[in-house]
Amino acid sequence: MLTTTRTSAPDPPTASAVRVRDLACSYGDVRAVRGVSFDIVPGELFALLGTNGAGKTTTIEALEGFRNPTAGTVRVLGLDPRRRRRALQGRVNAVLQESGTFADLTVIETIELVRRTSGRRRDLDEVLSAVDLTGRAGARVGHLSGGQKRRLDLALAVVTRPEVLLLDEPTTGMDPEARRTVWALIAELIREGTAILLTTHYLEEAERLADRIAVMHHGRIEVAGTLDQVLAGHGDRISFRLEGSPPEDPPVLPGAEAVVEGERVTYTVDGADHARRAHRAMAALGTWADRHRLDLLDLALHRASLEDVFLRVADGHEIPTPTGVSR
Amino acid sequence: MSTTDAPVRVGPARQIQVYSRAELTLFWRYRTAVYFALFPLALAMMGLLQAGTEIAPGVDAGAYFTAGSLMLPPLFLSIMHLTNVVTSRREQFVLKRLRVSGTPATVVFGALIVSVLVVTAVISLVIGVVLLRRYDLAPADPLLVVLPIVLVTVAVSLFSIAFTRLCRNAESAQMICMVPLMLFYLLSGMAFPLASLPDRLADLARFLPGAPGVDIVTSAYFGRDFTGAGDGTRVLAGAELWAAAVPGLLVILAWLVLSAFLVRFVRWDPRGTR
Repeated sequence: MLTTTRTSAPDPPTASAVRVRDLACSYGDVRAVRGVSFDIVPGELFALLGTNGAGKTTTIEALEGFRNPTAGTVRVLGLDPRRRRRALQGRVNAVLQESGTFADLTVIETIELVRRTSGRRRDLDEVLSAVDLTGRAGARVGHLSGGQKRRLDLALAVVTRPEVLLLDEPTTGMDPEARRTVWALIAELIREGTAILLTTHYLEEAERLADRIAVMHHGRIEVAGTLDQVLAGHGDRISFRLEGSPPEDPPVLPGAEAVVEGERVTYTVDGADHARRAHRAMAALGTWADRHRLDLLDLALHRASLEDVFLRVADGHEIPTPTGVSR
Repeated sequence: MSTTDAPVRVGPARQIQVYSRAELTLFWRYRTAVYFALFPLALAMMGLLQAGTEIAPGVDAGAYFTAGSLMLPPLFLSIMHLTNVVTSRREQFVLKRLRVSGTPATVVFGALIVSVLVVTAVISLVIGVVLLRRYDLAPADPLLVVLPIVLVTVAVSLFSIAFTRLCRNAESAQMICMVPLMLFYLLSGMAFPLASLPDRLADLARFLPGAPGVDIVTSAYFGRDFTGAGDGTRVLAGAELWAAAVPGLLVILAWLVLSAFLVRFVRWDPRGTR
């Protein structure tokens, strides 16, 4: 069961490009977002993770000015995106979860349409090259593959040189090579000082690109912080295998809980100061093995992964508060 | 990706110009739109079949119906093309994408209306040439021919855009749009004379955008009073012609203002948000 402990993303050190405070959005009786708060500063990528229906897209839509919050405030570059849409034109852009482009225009006509109507423009050839669509510039959008359409979406979002970029699952449908091309582009945008909000189901993408990560569940941010902060407290695992029959009584290690599955024994060390306690447990395990003249096969120490945290949040487990994060 | 142009100010007029060019490209590449454009032209040419009888002193029925058919492209093209295009764009998230990128509604819909105006102008020119060549007929008051065509095109286009709020998807839009289209067309005086309708229905027809448009265009073409209850016997010119057109122009302007207001409620996202 989920506990009532909720997490706000820690305040970033400088002025926010995006500020969300106690955001709540409902559709009829469905409360899609329930009191979400976070900030994103220029040059930072904030990743919003969560299962389908967790409230990520609704949060992005509120930032796009598309969704009227039931409660709370949303500010993008200091402005209300719903009321000051024109003032934000070109300064904020987005890749939607769904590709929305004119199928009967060519790639170059589509990008030029957005570029020429914006006061802030990047070089067309550089944009085409950055999304690896130079060779398809003359192709009708309707003839592009799914991955190419997603890259065109990204091109349309970056061609106006936005200060804030909202990316809703931008790499869905891309092959690994195209995904890496997009990651390189996003990394460059971060270096340029763009504030980016990313939602993705690819946890590796979040680990690689995000400065801070938040995991949402049922409309709330359950855990948030830097990758280290999010992973802290989710435990290290010590595992090994014993040849032959498993031990009936695995050794008692200080601060570690044992699970025996066939030949494999796994200890989980979590809670405060878990790294030091994992080290002590490893030492105690070595002593136990020497005393019983046993070989510990496949002995390994695993750090908790983002996937572990994600799954624990999705399963409704209690999530410990990361260091430096306010509840 | 370091090369960026210096920021420039791009006003709504320039944005509408750029988008209108794209809309015309899309119109040409979208085969159904070309059909929507040819359909009223074909109907207009059927007016020639009426030739040979006089409906007013010196006014050939063929010439009258061909001149009146100048009001068909604003009705058919605006309703059939725009309800279809706006609904399918909403369905395909194109409208949402444009909205998110900050493109103002005036630009998105203004460009669409400009494209319809351009195509309407081309069809009107063809009809004008046919009238000139076949009947040696030029408009008595060209400005009063052009004005209602432009106003009805804009008013019905805005109405059609607002009407998409009632269309769930592009497929249903094609069916549902037949309701206002048939209402406007059948009560425009082009399908059958309003005089042949019951008085109440004929009065109602004059409060729709089609009938006043047809009345003003035919009056301005022949220099005779076909407005309201006018049967074309009275010859009009200059200020008299404009004065006779004022009630009809006010009806069309009312439709334009009301439709422009309703466009505020258009749906940008297929999932129901605005």
